[in-house]
Amino acid sequence: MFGLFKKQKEEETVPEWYAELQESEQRWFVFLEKLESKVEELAAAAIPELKQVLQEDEDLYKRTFQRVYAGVNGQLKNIREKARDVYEEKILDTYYNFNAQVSVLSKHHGLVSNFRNTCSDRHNKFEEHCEYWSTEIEKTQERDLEIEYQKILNEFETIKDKFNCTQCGGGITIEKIFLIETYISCPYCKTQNTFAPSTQGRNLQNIARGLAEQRTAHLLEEFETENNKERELYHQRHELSLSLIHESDPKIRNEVETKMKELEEQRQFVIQNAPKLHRVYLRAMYDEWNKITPDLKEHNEKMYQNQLPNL
Amino acid sequence: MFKKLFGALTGDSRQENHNYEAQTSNNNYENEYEEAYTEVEYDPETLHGTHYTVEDFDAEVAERAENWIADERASGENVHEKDIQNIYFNYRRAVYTEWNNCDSDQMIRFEHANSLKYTGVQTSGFVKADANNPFLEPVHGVDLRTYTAMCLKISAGIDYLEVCKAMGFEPIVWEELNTIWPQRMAEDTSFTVTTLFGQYYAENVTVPQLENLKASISEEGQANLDRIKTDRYFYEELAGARQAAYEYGIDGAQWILDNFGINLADFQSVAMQWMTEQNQNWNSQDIMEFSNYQQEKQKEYAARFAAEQGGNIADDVNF
Repeated sequence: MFGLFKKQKEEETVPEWYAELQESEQRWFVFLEKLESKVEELAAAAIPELKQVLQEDEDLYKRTFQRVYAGVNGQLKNIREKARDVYEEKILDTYYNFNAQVSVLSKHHGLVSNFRNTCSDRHNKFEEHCEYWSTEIEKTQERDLEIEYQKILNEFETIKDKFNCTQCGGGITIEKIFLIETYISCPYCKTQNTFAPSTQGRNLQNIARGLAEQRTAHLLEEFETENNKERELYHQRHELSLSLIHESDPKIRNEVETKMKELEEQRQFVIQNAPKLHRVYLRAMYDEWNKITPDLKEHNEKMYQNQLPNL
Repeated sequence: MFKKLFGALTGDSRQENHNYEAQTSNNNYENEYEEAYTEVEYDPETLHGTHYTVEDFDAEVAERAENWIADERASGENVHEKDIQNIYFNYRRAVYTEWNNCDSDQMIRFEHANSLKYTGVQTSGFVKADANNPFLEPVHGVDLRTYTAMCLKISAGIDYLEVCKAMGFEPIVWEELNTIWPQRMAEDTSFTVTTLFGQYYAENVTVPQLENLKASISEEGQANLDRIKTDRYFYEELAGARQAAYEYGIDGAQWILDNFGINLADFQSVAMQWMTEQNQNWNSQDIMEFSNYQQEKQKEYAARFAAEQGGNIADDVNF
């Protein structure tokens, strides 16, 4: 009798060890807040710098930019790892310790599992924060390829009539943008001349696909939007089906079932339609690509054909 | 009492007992399994057990897979081409493991050896050059092996003009080779060209014309190169260091050259060599071991680079 009374009293008050859990939780929150502001600091400093480096990087492959970019991502990764390590070493360790000491039958066990859930949710929030900034940093890679393409076209206009035969000195018109060294025979004396395209001209094949993608990005987005609908519709229908479990009113059941049927029809339509939109996008992208580098058309068409069965 | 209940639920009490035994006597189980493992003889080419024929194996897989597919269809499921491939893939694993009583490492080795046949994709370490493959036809008389040898020289730092001269052709030919071979790699959905290129790269192939072209390498560099070829731990250390360098904004390949005297071509060649070896002698325990070792080393070097750069941005944040 007394024992029972004592037990009840014990369960009503918050146990002494709870202070320790609370302290860990608070420290975890403060720690992540500080790390979050470090991430923001890093991004605020790196984003304008990366943009500048990219603009000033004369290298065809933008290697200086890539190096700095890798370094910035390395720091971001370092911060995320630090959070993950502390989560495992301090938070999970504390949780396992208490979990081993406090019986699951105890009324206070909830405090232990709440501690874990709260800390884990906070960690997820931190990860979302990092993900957001990581995407912002990623965006610094984007460059307007139209500008680079225009430079190549302008250069071609100025050089195309300035090439002379090494044998007879006759003027040879360069009829298109060559991507690699090419033999051109002189229209007058038939000598084979080697035409070597400029570094900028050669770069056309490196930017061609990116440019084609840039020009057809709206079609890719249409496909992706359609493709994502499948899961959305599935979940909507699933939720409705759950709502029916305890529903006995035949009228409501009927209404919900009709709605479910509609959703399923829409979902089936999307399943059929998404690959079609994907094909529309790819065709348009390859057409655009072929327009930019007609020399690569034969190769690109093979690539396109290879891709089709996987859609 | 519970046992009975579970047995009744699953309708198979024998299976239940069997599982129970396997769990309580782990040691015995492993011993039995080791013995059974060595009893099976494998065909060196196909890695199928020699106690059955490949036809029987394929037939068994097909029968099980088709039954499953028929069941799925009968219950109104839409079975797509990808599902069918997955169903076959899973039954192939199941039948192989059952018939040979083997572990998952052996099963993966079998998959690697047969990847082209069953999935249409090659695995490094198992590709044989087939003279009839149109993708492997020489370009301007230069076959893939020779092309790889040229690439090796160029990525080792030798000027491509030197390489062309040694081969006896105009630079324009090299430019075409260097366009057509990569295009073939991209077009070939079985990855035969790419994988074979990688295998040649790992072998560090050369051709007589190029033998006299040697990238300069220091004595120390040569010693380090010889060591990463034979000492997997040392290779993993350098791979980890290189990765750490990139994460600190340093050109990792250049860093390896500056500090260990090994150029990019030689390093990549050794990397391919270890990868091929790993594919051929698949052993998940070793893979874990080496991967952990590399990560550990990467951390060590990361700490070093961080110290050189005045620390990481969040070093002053503590829990």
